[in-house]
Amino acid sequence: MTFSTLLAIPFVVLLVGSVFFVIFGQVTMRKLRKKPEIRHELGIEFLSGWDILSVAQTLTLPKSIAQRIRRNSRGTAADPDLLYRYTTLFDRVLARVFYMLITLSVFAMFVLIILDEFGVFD
Amino acid sequence: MAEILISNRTWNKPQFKQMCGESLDAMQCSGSGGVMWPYEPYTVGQTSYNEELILRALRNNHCPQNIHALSSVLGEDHIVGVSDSMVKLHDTTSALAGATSTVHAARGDKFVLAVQRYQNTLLAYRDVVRDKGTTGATKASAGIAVSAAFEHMQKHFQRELSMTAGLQRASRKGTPLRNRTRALNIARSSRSIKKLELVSTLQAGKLARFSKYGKALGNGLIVVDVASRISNVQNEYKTDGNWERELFVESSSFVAGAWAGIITANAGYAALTFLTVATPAGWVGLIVTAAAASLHMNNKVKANSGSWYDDVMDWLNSL
Repeated sequence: MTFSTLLAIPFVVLLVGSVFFVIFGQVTMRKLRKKPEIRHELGIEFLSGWDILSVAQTLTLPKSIAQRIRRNSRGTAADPDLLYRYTTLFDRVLARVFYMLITLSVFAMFVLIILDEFGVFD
Repeated sequence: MAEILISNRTWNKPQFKQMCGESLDAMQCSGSGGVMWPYEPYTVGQTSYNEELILRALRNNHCPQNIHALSSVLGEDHIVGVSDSMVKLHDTTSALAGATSTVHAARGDKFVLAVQRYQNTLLAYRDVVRDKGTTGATKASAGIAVSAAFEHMQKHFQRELSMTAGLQRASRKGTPLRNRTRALNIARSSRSIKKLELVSTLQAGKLARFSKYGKALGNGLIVVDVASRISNVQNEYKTDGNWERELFVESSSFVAGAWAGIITANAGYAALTFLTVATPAGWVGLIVTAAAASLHMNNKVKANSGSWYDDVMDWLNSL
């Protein structure tokens, strides 16, 4: 297997993850943004749509770590307690699938690129 | 060195003489009628072959209009340097979109506000100088407001200022962000004729390219379109090349680069909250890491996605 083919595999996964990004944004985020109680607790928006990512991250990380990030961030990270109250199991699974697909594929691509730099595929 | 003049209004002979102290006849007018037309690049004196090439590079589409607007904002001395570095950056802007803009926004918001405030006081100062200021505002009070905004900006945003001013090549006079007197002078004289000094056709070409994707907005902010990526695809289309392949390469590398930057920035941001103090070093480190990750991914995918496209097409054709 050449480097190019290997790199294509996580890239396809990344594309699938991007589809989940849209679904998660349309299904869960739309629902959350409509609730006035949680609307402003979805995390800081560096770019429009960034909160989608921070909600997904909060729901994916273990709850205690997410709570610590929330405490340390002075309110700029999403609030895990509120998020768990207002999401269903389906939302959480969707968030985890989306976040893991994106993170793992990016991570895999980095690993491949680093291995390639060391000449593993030459 | 060619001196290029661009104006935003029509000048007739006596007006021009009064404005520039030179006769309009000395100008190399491509238009006729004995007037200087707006948004038309002119050279002074006999046009040499080299200058003709420069004029040709500047004179397509709406370039002169954009160049005029951009040089009003940036200053004539800077636009050449800025366009130079922006063209170098233009491929990377979209890859960086995920990374830098995000992290930068956290701190940058306040910086942009400070610059905005400084600019507003300068604009108010200009109004006062031209007797258009709000009632009660004197030249002295407007000047004090400028000073206060300037001091605030200098005190709180040293690092951002040196980064921004570094982009604009150092000129002997200093940039308006660094030098209050120079900013006041620019505010006082709002000139409608811009003089550009270009050394080569290469510079003119870069300037023309920059003017295509840089837009001067009303408040003096410059917006750089990510859309410039499209130009690669369009070039390929125009030359009857394999533009679908080019589209695939550009968009796939954009997707991978942006996601890489976003994930790195997001994870890094969460990690940073675990430090008691998010020091500037931490922020800079995060920007650099995320940007480097994003750029690297962009390059790698760009280098490989062409062959992915070929493989997929081969496979489809063999069915």
